[in-house]
Amino acid sequence: MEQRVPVSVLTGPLSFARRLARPLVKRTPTFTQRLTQRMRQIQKSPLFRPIAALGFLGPGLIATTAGNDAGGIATYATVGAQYGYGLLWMMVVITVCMAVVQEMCTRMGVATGKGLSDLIRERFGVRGAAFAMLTLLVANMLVTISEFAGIAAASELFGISKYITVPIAAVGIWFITTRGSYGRVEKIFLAMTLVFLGYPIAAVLARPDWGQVVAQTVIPSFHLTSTYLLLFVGTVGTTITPYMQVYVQSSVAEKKLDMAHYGAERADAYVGAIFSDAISALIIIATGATLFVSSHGKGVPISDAAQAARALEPLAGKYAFILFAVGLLGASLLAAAVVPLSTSYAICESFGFERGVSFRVREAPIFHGIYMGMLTIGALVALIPGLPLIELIIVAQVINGVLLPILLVYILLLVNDRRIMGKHVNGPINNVIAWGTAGMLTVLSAWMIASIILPPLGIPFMQ
Amino acid sequence: MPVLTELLNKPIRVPGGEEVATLQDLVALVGEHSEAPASNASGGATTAIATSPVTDVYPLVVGLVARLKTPRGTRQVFIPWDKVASLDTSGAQLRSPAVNLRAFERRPGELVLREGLFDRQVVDVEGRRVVRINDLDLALVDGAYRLVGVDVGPGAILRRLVGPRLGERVSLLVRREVGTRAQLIDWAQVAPVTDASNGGALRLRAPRERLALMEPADLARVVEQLTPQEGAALLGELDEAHAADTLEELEDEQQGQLLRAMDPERAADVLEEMEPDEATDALQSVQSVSSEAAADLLGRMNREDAEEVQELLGYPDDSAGGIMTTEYVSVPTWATVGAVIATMRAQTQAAAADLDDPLPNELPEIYVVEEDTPPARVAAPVKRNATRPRAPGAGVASEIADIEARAHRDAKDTHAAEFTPTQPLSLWTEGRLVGVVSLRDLLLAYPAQTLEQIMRPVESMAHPLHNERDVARLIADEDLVALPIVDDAGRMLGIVTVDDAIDVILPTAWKKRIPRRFR
Repeated sequence: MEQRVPVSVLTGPLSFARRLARPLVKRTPTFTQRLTQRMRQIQKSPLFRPIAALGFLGPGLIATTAGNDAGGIATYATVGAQYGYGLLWMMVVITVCMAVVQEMCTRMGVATGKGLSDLIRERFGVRGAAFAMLTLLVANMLVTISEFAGIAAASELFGISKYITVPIAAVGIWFITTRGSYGRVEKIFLAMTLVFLGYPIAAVLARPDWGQVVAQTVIPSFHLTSTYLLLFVGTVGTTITPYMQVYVQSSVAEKKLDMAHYGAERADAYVGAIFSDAISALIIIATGATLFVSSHGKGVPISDAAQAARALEPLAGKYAFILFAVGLLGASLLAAAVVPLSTSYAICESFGFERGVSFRVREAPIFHGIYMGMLTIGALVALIPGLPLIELIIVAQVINGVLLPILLVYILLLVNDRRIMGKHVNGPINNVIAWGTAGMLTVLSAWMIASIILPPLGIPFMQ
Repeated sequence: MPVLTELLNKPIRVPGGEEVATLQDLVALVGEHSEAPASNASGGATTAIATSPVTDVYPLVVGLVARLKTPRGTRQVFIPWDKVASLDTSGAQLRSPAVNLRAFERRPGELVLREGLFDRQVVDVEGRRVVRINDLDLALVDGAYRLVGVDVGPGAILRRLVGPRLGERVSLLVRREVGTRAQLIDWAQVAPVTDASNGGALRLRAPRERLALMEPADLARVVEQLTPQEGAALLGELDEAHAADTLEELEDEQQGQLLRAMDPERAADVLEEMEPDEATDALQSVQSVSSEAAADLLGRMNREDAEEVQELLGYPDDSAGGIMTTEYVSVPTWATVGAVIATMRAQTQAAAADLDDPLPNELPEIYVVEEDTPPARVAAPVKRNATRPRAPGAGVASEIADIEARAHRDAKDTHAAEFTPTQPLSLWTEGRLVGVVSLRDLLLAYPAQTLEQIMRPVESMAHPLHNERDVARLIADEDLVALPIVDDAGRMLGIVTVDDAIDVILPTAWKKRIPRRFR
């Protein structure tokens, strides 16, 4: 039989495999293969862990940025401008609480492989889950509102009317998350928020009195004024957000690890909390060294974003507002996309409704309803004419702080349940710190609410 | 047909009308039932299921759990069904005023409905999804209640949230908007999700049969929605081949998670059942987390399958070697059409007895190789020879001889001298790939023709270190069913089939979905 010539000819990198008789390829790995292998080696090396945990790669960075969203920036800036380094000691306390709470949620995620809303439903039934989800909805709704307020504030720094940017942002977020390739856009938002890493530099350049900084970090001081209490609760609320706990647990559960690999996750939770709060503290220092110091120690309330941006002046001079606006916009957009979506997921997961952006609106009406509803309300509230944006953001964080104990109680009951956690239930130290956080926060919240409500009613309280 | 929520918390009356207790829960008898040890982390598959005469699919309600107010506080007591005169949405009526005050304790074979089922996840077999039980549907059959269905709709949530009566009214109001109508699933279509973390109390035999009826792709969709422990428990309900098919439908990472969650012995059995390339990917996924676990699984597999997998494990997972399978048929150039067909037939027929068909399920093409050693001096048997049943039996040999003799008479253009009818023909000959024969060619050729005569030259092939995407694209571009993979010397190593190529190309489309971590 006549030998036929191959009909199709391979092209490109495969072409050398065309001829049979000749030895074709040397077994040298390609560049990509070598890179992948190298990456794997790096990931396994003990050096890599802390770098990843420092938040420069992947979820750690997202979590950190989510902490330093519009609400975080506004709150920390206000704290710094109002009290200088006076509340720095509190950041230490908050960091310990946050690390403990995040670790509990991480442990639950690894031990059960389930999200918080799933566990709440299974343990507390429909009514318990409904209350938890309502709390979460309210807290996250307020976060969403403050993100849109952040978008509005950033756009006004650029001199563009918020009535143009906020609706565009709301529609754009909805469109990208449901239709587009969100992953790529997320990276852009993330890159924008890297601007906030300028705060540490600004803090150094502002030449703060480091002796004072250290002293105020170590020695607690307490002012018995309603503003102080308000900012205290707000700072707790924006640092240990209810949203973060849900997010941390689901992202850990998503990885589906087993307890054998829990050690690394725990380290991540601790280092993540410390890193994120270090940035927050530096924001306070940067603002304290500029705004508070220039007010000659009297403290100034921050009334608009332009004022908050001045903390970056030591770094960027007259361009500080651009830097600040870019960062604020990125952080706000990122959180405005993630928070409503994850809220909707959590609620639908808890009640077993169809969920996911891959469903059409008609297939998953409740999921899309909550998501779109939150985006719409968030945008509409931010658009109310004459509303002071920074104050709005801070009030939202305060309410988050007030609602946090409710969720903490759920978390604590779950993490101490032997049927769910087996031998991985909380130890006594974790319990003391976490219950203490919930208790203290409840007392502070009640005190704060009383100090706001009682005096106008003619009842003397803490004047 | 009441739902359980409408019955719960209603008064229990003694004759005379006095309320003595409130209804806390119902106890139903599940025919076939056993306790899974709660300590078993994998939710593992323990057998030993006690069969009872109750063969009904629908659990029969055998009694009430009543909350009784006593001077020493409230206590839960059990009231057997024969003491109950009636039970409806207004409450329960007892036949006698006497109630046994012994505290309630669940016995094996019993299912406490609210406690055991409310808010639990179950597999909706027909709907191929995982749902959460919001309410239970009961039916009065021959004077006794039976559990007939589960309600997973939002209406049931509303009912439990604000009480049956108000819930009904609200759901009437908003029915059209959010579709709060009942979403009932027949109990016969429900398979509980078991896992150590939810007490492991619920293990039924019937669900195993229900799950067995599901397609692997559907099961994979269900498993995706579960935690690895739950997924492993579910796979434990299936037979090994079915579990292997289901695993193959999942992504590598999930395969690894499930294998780690499974009992290692069982996981190894399932790996043996999987296609070698899929098993390799799954093991690679295990390896990326724990190389000891992977080595352990490999060690538990039977030697032959383990060797195949080990060979494939040497290739990077994004290479052609990573997706190729070693399940193909290759024959030497000198083999005749008749001999090939007869040998393949003999292999399959002989294997039918022990259920281990050595031929691949899909047989797109037969590859013709030039043997390493001349056929006359076959000395060392190739590796696969050692374990696979391949030498045709005496009957087959005579059949081949017969066919070849006849072919020799018929076909004049064949070279009789080259015939060596007694030489064993290996369907897994190793050597340099020289040609390919489709089943069509094989079917239409004369039995006496050698494969060398009818083979087509190989038009495309690839090296195991080629990028899997390039290979997949080549398969798509050239409309191939399978692409042979050869080493540097052109020796046949394996094939990449079109379905594996699709797996390479498709996930990119899925990845456009939003990351699931935003839940």
